[in-house]
Amino acid sequence: MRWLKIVVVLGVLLIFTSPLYPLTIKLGSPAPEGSIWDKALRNMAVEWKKISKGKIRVKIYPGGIVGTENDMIRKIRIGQLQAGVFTSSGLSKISPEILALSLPQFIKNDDELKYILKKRVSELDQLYTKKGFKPLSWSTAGWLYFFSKKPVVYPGDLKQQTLAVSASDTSTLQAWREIGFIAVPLALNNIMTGLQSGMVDVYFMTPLASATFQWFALAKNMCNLKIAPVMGNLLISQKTWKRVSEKIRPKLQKLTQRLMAEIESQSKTLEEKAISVMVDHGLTIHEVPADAKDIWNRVVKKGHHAMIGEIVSKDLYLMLQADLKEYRGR
Amino acid sequence: MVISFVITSCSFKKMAIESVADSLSTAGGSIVFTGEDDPQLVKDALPVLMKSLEALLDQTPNNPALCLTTGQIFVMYANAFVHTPASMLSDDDFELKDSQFRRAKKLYLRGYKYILRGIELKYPGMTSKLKKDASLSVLSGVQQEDTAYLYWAVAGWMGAYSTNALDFEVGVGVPIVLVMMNKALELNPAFGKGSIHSFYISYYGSLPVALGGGEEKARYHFKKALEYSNGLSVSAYVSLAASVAVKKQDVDEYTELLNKALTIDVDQDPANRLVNIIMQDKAKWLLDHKGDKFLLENEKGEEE
Repeated sequence: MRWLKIVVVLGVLLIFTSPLYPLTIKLGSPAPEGSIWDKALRNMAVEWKKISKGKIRVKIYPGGIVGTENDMIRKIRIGQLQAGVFTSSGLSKISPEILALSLPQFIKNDDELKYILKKRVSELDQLYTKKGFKPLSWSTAGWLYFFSKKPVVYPGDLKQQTLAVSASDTSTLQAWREIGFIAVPLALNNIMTGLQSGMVDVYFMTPLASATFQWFALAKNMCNLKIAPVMGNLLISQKTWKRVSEKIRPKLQKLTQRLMAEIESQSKTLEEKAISVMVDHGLTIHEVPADAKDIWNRVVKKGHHAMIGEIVSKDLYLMLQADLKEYRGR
Repeated sequence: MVISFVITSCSFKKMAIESVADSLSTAGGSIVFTGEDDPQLVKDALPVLMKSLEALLDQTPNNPALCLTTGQIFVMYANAFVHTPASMLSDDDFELKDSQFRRAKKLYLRGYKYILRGIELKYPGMTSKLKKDASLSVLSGVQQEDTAYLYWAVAGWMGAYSTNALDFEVGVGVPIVLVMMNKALELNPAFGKGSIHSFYISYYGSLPVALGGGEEKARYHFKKALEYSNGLSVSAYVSLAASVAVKKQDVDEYTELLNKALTIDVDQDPANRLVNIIMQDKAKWLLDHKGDKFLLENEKGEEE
């Protein structure tokens, strides 16, 4: 009985004393120091500190200094990091099903994506919570477009050129090949040399990355067709999230979502700036007429089938397809 | 007589301006600043000098040496007294840090424009040719004595770029200025006791491979920078630590390099005393803030 009392007292003491300990959350981010994303994270860190009355400190490791997105996942799993900012690349390593959102020409614009994210947030979150990560805020890190040496408007134009596809993404590579394109695996670091050597003629990337890495200087044609969104999310380990007082969790998440929404709108302005600078330096933007859009739609849909069942579950695909049909029918 | 006085007076003024420009652009003249052991004194003195030089430049806009001196001092000031201190602000001061970075960028670019004007005065048409064709052949006529123009112009542009890697307008100019730095290296590899090599340590060490960065190249230039400075370049050690060692997450090498930077006797190289003192302050700060760059074992997240 005496022992039970001691255990109860200790338990009560622990409950009341644990929030007194500060919690340090180490957060890795691929965004360069000083960029709009980095500033938003630093703002978030200051606000989290305020909301938690100084009990939570978010320490940011920007510019990929703590490794690639794959490294960050590993480090979160072993407790070296507690959180990270991820794009589709890292998100799909934790749960490949997320690639359903990035199937070419499946979701066609921001409004459709917004609709899906609002309606299916709990299903998407579950993909990560069951793997030990708490997603705090879904957003996009831009859209992918084709940048090519020779103009691309119709799928036939692309079939005449060699397309670079991420070397780590074998399923996407296979899908492009299956629908008749000449696709070769190429790591991000080698796109510039691949374009210089003639190994590839086309890559698909966000305008921001294209301008930052200056690949557009060797592929001066941009096809104005949104291929797919690049998803983004701030993931925190479930273990760490549970250590945060339940009372303030919704406030922290809401604040994070607000900041990420602000950043999404700022990044659109930045993307416009990137496109305008590239145009000033020789980039030509090719508009895609309605008939070409129909052909793209038909062609890439065949590629979806190569991924459904393999990477993306049929149930999820059909569910999102029904959502899109519903939205487009409004 | 009046006309004669006006002519004499104008000639005298012109001579005085040229004399100031020449004295500041020579090693002996600039050592008054670069050899100083009190950074605060220089920090307080430079703004007055910068504005005076701009006033002089307004009077004699076609003096290339004055363009170089003015531009060089703007770039030095931006780096030593705006950008570097801002980079050491705490995360809580991120708004101040951001505004200081933007201020540094403006000062760097102002310096760059003055130097570019000097280059144009010396080599008419060269800068526009370079914009069309960023190749070494365009710079073939540049003389060795003009290495400083190339070096400081690039320092200004790359300084601005380093304040925000996502400034696309500055970013597209990087391949052009890189050609200028390559020419500077070809003309005078020993310039500024290895300053060009020190630049390349940060350049190759910081940039992602996709943008031409690489550890081996950074280490090669580190070796050369030490060779030309007789091992007295604090900046070489700090640059390698802050770029390559951080990227590799090699905390032991980081610590070793920065400790080595702190052991350098700044009085051994009087001409670079000021920059070495400023870089040693940075080395101390980087050592004190190791946990900002590395996931240290003894500083695990969660509870502390």
